[in-house]
Amino acid sequence: MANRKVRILVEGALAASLALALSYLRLWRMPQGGSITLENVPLFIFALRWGLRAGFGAGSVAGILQLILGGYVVHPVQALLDYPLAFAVLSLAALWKRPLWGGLILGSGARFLCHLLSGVVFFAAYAPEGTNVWAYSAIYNGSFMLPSLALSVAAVYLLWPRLKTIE
Amino acid sequence: MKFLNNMTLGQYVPVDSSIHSLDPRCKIIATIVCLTGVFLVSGPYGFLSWGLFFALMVMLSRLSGGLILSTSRPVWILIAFTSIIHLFFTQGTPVFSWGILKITHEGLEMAARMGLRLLMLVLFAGFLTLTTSPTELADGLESLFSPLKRFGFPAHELAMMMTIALRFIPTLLNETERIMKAQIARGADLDRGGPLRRLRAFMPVLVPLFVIVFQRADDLATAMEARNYTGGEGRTRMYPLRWSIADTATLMLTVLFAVAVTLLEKRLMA
Repeated sequence: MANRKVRILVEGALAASLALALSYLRLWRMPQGGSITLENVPLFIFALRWGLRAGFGAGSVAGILQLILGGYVVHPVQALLDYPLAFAVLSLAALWKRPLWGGLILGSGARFLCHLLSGVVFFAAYAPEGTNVWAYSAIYNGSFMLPSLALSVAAVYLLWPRLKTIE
Repeated sequence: MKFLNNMTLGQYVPVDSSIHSLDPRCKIIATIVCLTGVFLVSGPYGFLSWGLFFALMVMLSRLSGGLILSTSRPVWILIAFTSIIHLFFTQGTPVFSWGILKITHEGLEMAARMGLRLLMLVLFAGFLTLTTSPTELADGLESLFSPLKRFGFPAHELAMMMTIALRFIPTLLNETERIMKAQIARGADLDRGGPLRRLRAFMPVLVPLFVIVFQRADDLATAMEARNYTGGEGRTRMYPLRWSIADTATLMLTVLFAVAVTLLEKRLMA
């Protein structure tokens, strides 16, 4: 058994890697064009195994890699909110393990909030004045983010009892 | 369920050019300078100057223009959408009207300004990933963030995780495909039904996948420790980053250009 710190570092890296690998695999194609993937699942599982701090790190790594491997930047705050932070806040799931869905919903809610805020920043900078930026952002992000997060929560809920005994 | 066969990860195009051989730190900082510069201009002269600057960079990088434009494809819809709402919803002197639709002089101006700004931002940011490999970017980011180590920021750990994660994306994609094929051979139906049904069908793929990840993590951690890996302190590199005169010159020219364009535009618009 390796040193705990090295083990967490490597497992976090692999969790981030699996998150990216799964992001290329479309589970379901949405009618309006978005797609649902299971990219959040490894990050949730990793955070549940090793806690908030480690999960935050693995999430940031996954976010930065997503940005490097094909993300886009339209605003500095948007870049931060849509990539490193959006994935890092999933680790909040580690704060509330009983009941499990409480933490999962907390993590998903935090990720949705990141994208919501990023949308508000984007529309505030690029939409005409007087636009209701919150409504625009909520509609834009809600349409594909919410089903995707809901499905990830369901996946982790089914998976976690089978994985938690594995060393 | 289809896999992207022979997919390329990321956008990096290895070419032997003066831009490719710059230090990743130089390119990261210069990109941030360019993005800020594009944000600060709003008139035709500003956009024209940055456009010419970008064209010069593209020529120096020896990449084809078509390839570079294609990297912005995912955001075309966003750019078009933003321009169109500005076109129709900006109040001002009408140039054209048809029923409730009305295009104003100001609307045309705003549509062009916002569309161009978005396009330039996406192009400049994309140019960084086209000319710098993900590993170089990870090394560059580690080096740039290492002054923050003093405040407890885990710069080395994050960069190490990025490097390992990059290395394993193709491996894990292969593993996923292998397990999926194995389950399909046993009669699994991964392609039918609504999202929830598919998710249930996917469980026999996910469970072994996670088990593989945990096992590999354990093996790799043991291997690293056997080679005496103890974290960032005192670790040396196989390919250390080298900052050369060319990097200093590029960075200074970029900063000078950004300042000059911003100031000149202020004067011309005033």
